[in-house]
Amino acid sequence: MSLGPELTLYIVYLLDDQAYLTKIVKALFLSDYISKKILNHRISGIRWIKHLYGPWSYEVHTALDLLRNLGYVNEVATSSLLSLVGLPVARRFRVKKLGRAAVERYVRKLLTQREDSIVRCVCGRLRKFKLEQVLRLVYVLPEVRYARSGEEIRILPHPDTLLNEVRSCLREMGLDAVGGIDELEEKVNEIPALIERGLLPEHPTWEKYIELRGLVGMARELYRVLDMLSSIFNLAF
Amino acid sequence: MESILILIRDLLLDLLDRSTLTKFVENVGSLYERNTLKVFFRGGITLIVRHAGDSYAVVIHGVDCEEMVKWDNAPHHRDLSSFPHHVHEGGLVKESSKRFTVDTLAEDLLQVLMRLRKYVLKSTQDS
Repeated sequence: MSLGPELTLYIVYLLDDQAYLTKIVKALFLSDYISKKILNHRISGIRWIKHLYGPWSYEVHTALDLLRNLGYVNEVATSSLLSLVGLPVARRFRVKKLGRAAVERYVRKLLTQREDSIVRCVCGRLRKFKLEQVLRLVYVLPEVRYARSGEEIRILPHPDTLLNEVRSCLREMGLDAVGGIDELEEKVNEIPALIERGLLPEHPTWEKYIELRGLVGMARELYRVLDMLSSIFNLAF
Repeated sequence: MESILILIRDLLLDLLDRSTLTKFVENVGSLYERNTLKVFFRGGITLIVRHAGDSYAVVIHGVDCEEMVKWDNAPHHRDLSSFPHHVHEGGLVKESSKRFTVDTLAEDLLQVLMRLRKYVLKSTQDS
C-alpha cells in the first residue's frame, strides 16, 4: 500500500451529548490505509467503547498519547500534538513498552484491518495494559468539535498545497515570495505595515491577511503532524 | 483555529438563538477561510468573524452580500482616536469602542448580535 500524492488526514469524530465530557473525537489517519467504512461503523464503535469503559468520567486525552503509551511515539512528538490540539501535556503512565518488532506488527495490524476493528484493537490493547481508567480520546483539531456525528469528515490538504495557496495570494497582492514557510510567514507579517503605509488597500487585504495567518499556522501544524507520522511509520510524505 | 476564535465560537453558540440560524460554519469553504467563522441567519443575513492573534474583522452581510457594518482593526485610520479599531458603516469609517479581545469579547459580541438581530428581524419581515 502506498499513500496518495497528498496526505489526507481523515478526522473522524463523534459526539456524545449525554456524556459528561460531551465529545469523543476519534481520529485515525492515513489515506490509503483507512477506508471510509469507518464512517459506517462509528456509532457501533462508540457503543463498544462505552461498554468497555462504562460511564464517561474520565479525562480527555489524545490518541497520540495513547500511541505513546504503546511505544510508538516519543515524548517530543506527543507534546507537539498535544500542543497542536490545545490540550495540556498529559501525565506519564507506567506502561510497559512494546518491543520494536511487536510495535510494527501491531501497527500493521491496525492499518490493515477494518476501521471498526481498529477501535476494538486499540481498546483491547489498552485493556491489556490495564489502562481502563484512562480512556484516550482523540481530539485532533478543535475546529471540528461542534460538528455532529456523521456530518463531516475533514480532509486536510498537504501543507505544501496550503503554502502554494499562500504564495498565490501574496503574488496577487504584489508580494512575491518563493521561499519556504518562514519566508512566507515573514511576508504575511509585513501586510499590516504595508496597509498602514497605504501601499495596500485596507479591504479586502486585511481579511486576506487574517486568513493567510491561519493558512500558514495550519501548514506549520500539518508539517509537524507529517513529521510525527513519518517518525512513527517510517513513511515518506 | 486560533484559541480566541474558539472562544468566539463558544460565545456565539451560547448567545445565539438557534432558531434564527440556518447554518453555522467554522473554517470551511475555500482554503482561504481559515480563522473564519460564518453564521448564516434566516432572511439571508450573514455574520462573518475573522480573528487571528490580535487582528480581527467582524462583518455583517445583508441579503445581497452587501456589507452592512464591519468592525476591524486594520491599521489604516490614524486620525481616529480609537486607532486601529474602527467601524465601517454606511460608507463611513467611524471610531469603534469594540476591541474583540478576550476581556471584551462577551460584551462586544453581544452588541454585535443585538445589531444583527435588528437586521435579521427586518429581513425576515421584508421577505
